Amino acid sequence: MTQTTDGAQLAALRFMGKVVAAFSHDFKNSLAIINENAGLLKDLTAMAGSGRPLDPGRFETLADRIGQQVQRADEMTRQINCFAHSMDKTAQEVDLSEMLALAAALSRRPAALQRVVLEVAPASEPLRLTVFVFGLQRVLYECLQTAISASKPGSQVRLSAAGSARMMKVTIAPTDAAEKDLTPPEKIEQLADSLGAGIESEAGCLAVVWRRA
Amino acid sequence: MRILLVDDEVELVSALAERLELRGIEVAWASSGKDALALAESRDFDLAVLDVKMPGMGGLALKEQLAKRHPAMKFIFLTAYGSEQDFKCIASDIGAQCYLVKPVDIEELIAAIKTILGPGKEDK
Repeated sequence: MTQTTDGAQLAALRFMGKVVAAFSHDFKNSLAIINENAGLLKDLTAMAGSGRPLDPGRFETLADRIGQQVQRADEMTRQINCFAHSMDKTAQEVDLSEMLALAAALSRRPAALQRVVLEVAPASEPLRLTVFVFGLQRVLYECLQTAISASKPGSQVRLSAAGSARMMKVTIAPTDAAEKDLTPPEKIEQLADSLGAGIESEAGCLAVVWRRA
Repeated sequence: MRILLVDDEVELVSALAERLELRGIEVAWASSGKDALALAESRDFDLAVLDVKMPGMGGLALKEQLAKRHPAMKFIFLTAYGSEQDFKCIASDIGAQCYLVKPVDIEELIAAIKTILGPGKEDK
């Protein structure tokens, strides 16, 4: 094993670590909300037992909150499961718009901490691509981190996909970036190359492009 | 005793605040560092319970700001960190009197508040 390979493997592991840490953090928050609202239901029930009148609307609101957090946690579980399976095959046919949705989910927490909202604009038609999904997600993640870091708090980063007979493209565009030009993250250019893609810096945005001969 | 609760998860901080109030503790809550500072400008608090990771101003930066304005204020940090060990290493460095890992046990939180503030504050 060469030193370069070790470095590449370590970088891939770090990426996985960041994603899993962010998801586990959000998952803990969902559990904490469920815990407090269930606790509040219990408190109010205990008080009703001591003669304080019950408010059915209040109970319904608390139960709804718990249900919403169960849905949130369930969606996060589905997303992290998709990510876990992204390593199953070195080449897998996928829809690019679905990949963007997963990429946005993987970067949701770092974006939220910067107060940046990620918006996904799926393509009108399915865009089929055969790719190593884990590698693609890492390229998109690094591009998104660049765009998020460049964005002003309260702004958005838009992810969109487009395709033609000659090329397929993912565009990552901050709506209000501090810098006019975004520098493509150097560390993943080699990885993008191994996926048959190139990373290009366009007017105020980054693009991952697959060109067909 | 008067407590300031700060966490960006509104449904968490509001429910936790209500549970503390039901137990006779005076609480005000905020879902951002900025709102917390505004609350602390208008009234005094004995203790602040702060989430570590929040968008914008995180709990550690907020603690610095609050401590500058209210030197006597005590702090408990809430963390969703998977490993308590990670936070234990930095807790004393950042001036936390205590830290608790989410999901929080309400009785454990109240016990921590009472231990930190001492018996004299309970009837205030």
